[in-house]
This record gives sequence, C-alpha cells and structure tokens, in this order.
Amino acid sequence: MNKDFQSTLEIIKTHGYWKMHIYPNSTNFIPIEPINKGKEIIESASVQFRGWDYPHFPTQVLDHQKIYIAGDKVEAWTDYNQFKEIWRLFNTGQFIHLFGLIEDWIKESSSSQRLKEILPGRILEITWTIHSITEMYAFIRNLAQAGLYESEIAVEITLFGTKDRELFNFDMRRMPLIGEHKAMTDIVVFPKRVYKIQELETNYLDFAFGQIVYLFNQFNWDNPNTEAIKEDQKKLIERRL
Amino acid sequence: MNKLTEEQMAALLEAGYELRNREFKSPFLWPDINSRWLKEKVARAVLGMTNTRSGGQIIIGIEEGKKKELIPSGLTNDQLNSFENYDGIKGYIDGFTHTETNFDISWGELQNNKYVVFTVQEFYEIPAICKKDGQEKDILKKAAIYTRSKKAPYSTIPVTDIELREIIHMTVDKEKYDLKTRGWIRKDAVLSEDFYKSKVKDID
Repeated sequence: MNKDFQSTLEIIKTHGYWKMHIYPNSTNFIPIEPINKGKEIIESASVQFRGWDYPHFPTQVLDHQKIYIAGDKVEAWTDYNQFKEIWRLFNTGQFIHLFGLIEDWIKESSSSQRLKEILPGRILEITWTIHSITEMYAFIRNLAQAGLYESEIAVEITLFGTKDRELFNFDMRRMPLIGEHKAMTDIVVFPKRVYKIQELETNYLDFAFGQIVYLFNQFNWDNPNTEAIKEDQKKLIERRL
Repeated sequence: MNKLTEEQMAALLEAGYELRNREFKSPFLWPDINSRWLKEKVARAVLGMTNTRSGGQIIIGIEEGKKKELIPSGLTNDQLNSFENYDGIKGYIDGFTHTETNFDISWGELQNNKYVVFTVQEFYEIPAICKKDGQEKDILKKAAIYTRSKKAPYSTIPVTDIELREIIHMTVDKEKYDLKTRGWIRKDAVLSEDFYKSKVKDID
C-alpha cells in the first residue's frame, strides 16, 4: 500500500501517540506569505538533539516521507521504522504535530534484543519522555522566535493510549522505580498553557519541566526526582547523551 | 575529557554518514606540525557548526577512503591524549574569530576504536566570522562566514545566500527584533480558539 498523510495518521492512531498543538493566543496573526516560507520556518525551528529531528523535516521526498503545500498550510508525513509522524503548519502560525510513541513501535525496527521485547501499549520510558517533552518546548521556543506570533501562544499537549501503561526505566544507571506507576486514564490531557513569546526564550526548559512532572504525576509517580529530570533536560540540549 | 558511553558513541555514529549537525574528521595528533592542515579543518568545522542552528558534533577518528567511503579507524592513545589540552585547543580555535566559540571536547570508544567528539553550541548573539587567513591554503579565509550546508551532501562551506538567510534569521531572532515596528502585523484578522480547532478537526 502506498503511504500518505492519511494512512500515516491512521497508523499512528493504532498505538499510543502524542499530539502537540500550538496556535496564536491573540486576535491578530502574522500571516506566513507566501505559504511555502512555512517549510523554511519549520526546518529552521526543528531541533536535533539525539539523531532524529523534532519534528521530523523531510528534506527529500521519499516513499516513506513527504512534505508539500496544501492550500493555506504546509503538511508533512513520515512513516519510517519506529518514526511515525504527521504535522501541519497553517499560514496563521497554527501548528499541529501527531507522532507515535517510540515505545510502541521500536519492537518492529530495533536490532536490540532488549528493545524487541517491548510490547506495544505497556510502557512509557522515563528518559525518552523527558526528552520528547523537552524537544517539544525547544521547538516551540524556536517557532516563537521566528516572528510568527504577536505576543502569546497557546500550547495544548495530549498523550493518547495511556491506560494501564506503566512508567519504565531503560537506563541501567538509574535507580529502578519502586512500586507500580501506571496511568488510569486512556488519555492524559495536559493543562492548556499560554506563554508570552519573550518568556519562552528564557524559560522554555522550566515550562517543559512543569509538563513532565504533571505527566509523571498522572502515572501516579508523586515525587519524581526533580534534579534528575533537570539534569536529563540539560544533557539533552547540550547533546551529552 | 569527559568519556561518552558506548551507547552514546554508537548513537553518534549510527547514521554512518555526515549530517548537517555532524561532521567527521580523520585522526591526527593535535600538536604535530604536520597536522596543521587538519587543525585548521577542525577550527573551520567549529566555526561552521557555531553558525548552524542547534550547533552539532565533530567526530575525529573517521577517515575517508579512496572511494570516499568512511573508515572508522579511531585514534591511537597518543592522538587521543593530545586533545587533553582543552584550553590550548580553545585558544587556537578562538584565535580565528572575534567572538568566542562554545564547545566541549569528550571522547568515546566503540568496537575498540577511540574517537574524540567536539560538541559545539550555536552562537549566542553574533555569528562567528573568520578574522584571519589560516596558514594552510584555502581552508580558513579572513572575513569568511562558515556554516554547514543546508542540503546534502553536508559539508562545512563559506555561506551561500541560502545559509546566510538562515544566519540572518537566527541573529534577528536573538536580538528579539520587534516585528510590530516593521508593520508586519495584519490587524484585520480576528481568530478564535474555535477557529483553530476547526482547522484540525479532520486529524484530531
């Protein structure tokens, strides 16, 4: 079957996935004109701290990825090994990104026996989660600095497919979690946040940190090690992984 | 020098080819007079990575074969130890620019081969501009702005119009340029949260 935006979206929704939605929080917007400038905006704003970029920017059109203009938006999709994602950037600066949880897809593509043993829907890896949310906010910061928004943006993040999923730690250097840390709901809806553009420049790591703690609380981990989370964030952005 | 884990090293070399944010260099002994050519190449790579969004890594210990294939030969212990003098290396590289570069040097091992990794941060306020010619021909040129090319195959190059645009964008962003004073804001569009949600209803 030929892959496309729709088929990738359907595949993403068969397993756990993230949704990150950004839109201007003002009555005015700064139009992206012409809309193909949106490609350059996303390419410049995307971050690459650990090999794969966030969001993935298809630099080439291939069987497993494509980027194109569609009316008032730029649209892209990728279905490559464990990486399943779609995104859209509208001329208003509105951006939405859906991407599959690596934990649920890595079994099919990894050569590591340990990773192959991960069953879809069972775990949420702690460090990968810290990395994902931090990458989202580094990208949001870059996007906010691209001059698309007048003063504030709204950010809504949702994690789907969480019920009975358990926090898990792949890093052997970390202390294993004691007790059961599972989510009890199908979906974790993060509180909607509104950020001033200037604040994002300096505080994006703190904003990401707040969301990480919120998520871990939803997995019934009441007191995650805040210093360790901040250190993981720092290592990621400094590429000391 | 901080040591990277084998997993970290594997992740750095996983792609098997150079990326925009990752450059490979042949092994060499830093203080060796015969290595000046490679030292200047590394200095140019650091300046280039500094001017590239999100910075990147320069991995030393990978040779290019006759057919341009990459050979992960690694460094000898002497070569590895020659990168211990961080201050000397930093001083040498910063000697090519008026603005300070920001990088760490670490090392790692993979399949018994040792590598040195320069992790370079994107410039803080002002892009790095080469302030003097290098001693080797055609590597470092006074007044050149180096960066990583935006299109594959990726390499460190003097900026073209494409990369220069990106660097200008980055610099302007960093200066928090007030767009309102440039009249870029259209005041006639009034959009609500409901409007934005309706735009993504088909994928939500």
